[in-house]
Amino acid sequence: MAHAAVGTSGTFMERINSEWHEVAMRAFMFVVLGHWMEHFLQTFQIYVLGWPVPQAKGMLGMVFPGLVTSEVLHYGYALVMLLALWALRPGFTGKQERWWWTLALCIQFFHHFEHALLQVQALSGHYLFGRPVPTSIAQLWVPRVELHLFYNTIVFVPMLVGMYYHLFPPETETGRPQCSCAWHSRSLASPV
Amino acid sequence: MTAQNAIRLAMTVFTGIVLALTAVGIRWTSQHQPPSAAFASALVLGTSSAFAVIALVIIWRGAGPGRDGNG
Repeated sequence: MAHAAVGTSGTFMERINSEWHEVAMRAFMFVVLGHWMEHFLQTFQIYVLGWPVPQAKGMLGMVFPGLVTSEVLHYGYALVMLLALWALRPGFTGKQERWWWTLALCIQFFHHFEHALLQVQALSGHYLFGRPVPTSIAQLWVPRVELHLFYNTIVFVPMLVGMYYHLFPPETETGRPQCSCAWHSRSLASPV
Repeated sequence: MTAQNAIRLAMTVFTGIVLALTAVGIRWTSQHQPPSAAFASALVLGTSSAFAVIALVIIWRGAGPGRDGNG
């Protein structure tokens, strides 16, 4: 990969958006794709293998069933996603890549809010909308498995496009990258 | 194959899985969920598919010569 020369000083936030941005993005993607694999497997178990929904727990959930039912874990992941999208955003210096990454951040904010609602209900024992289990707003209409697939897709797609533009910035892009992520030659010309 | 096309291909495989699962999901939910829930599921799964298609169009149409300049 083409590596731009980047600085080696500054605050944590400055460094995570410059010389550490590539490593941080890779670590973040490792977590996100691992989460995706679990959802892929869970939906495969339901839609293709015909397993009952309560028994379809993905891969890790088969070994540790508590992972699937734990609202804390779901909320924790939503929070990690939100924080990572926010923390890594300054590294997206181009106009298009920044726009798509910000869209993902905005959608994830609402997704996180939904999980926060579930978490509060799980902790308090008081369930909204007269339901017998913790229920989010969208869950009033959409079953949980499909809703999760939906949220994860509409958050990840803008991330995907943002990352694509981050890796391969259009020639018209005027933003000056501070990190080593881009394969485009413009990153090679970046100042130290 | 250029790096850009390799990344495009990886992203395409991923979105292809999303598209396949949503297609199977729409069929499954129509057969196993009450009509109102099945409609809502089809709506969100269909929207997910649309997002995946948009991603494919953008990354394959997107400009950017790549590191080696061949795009």
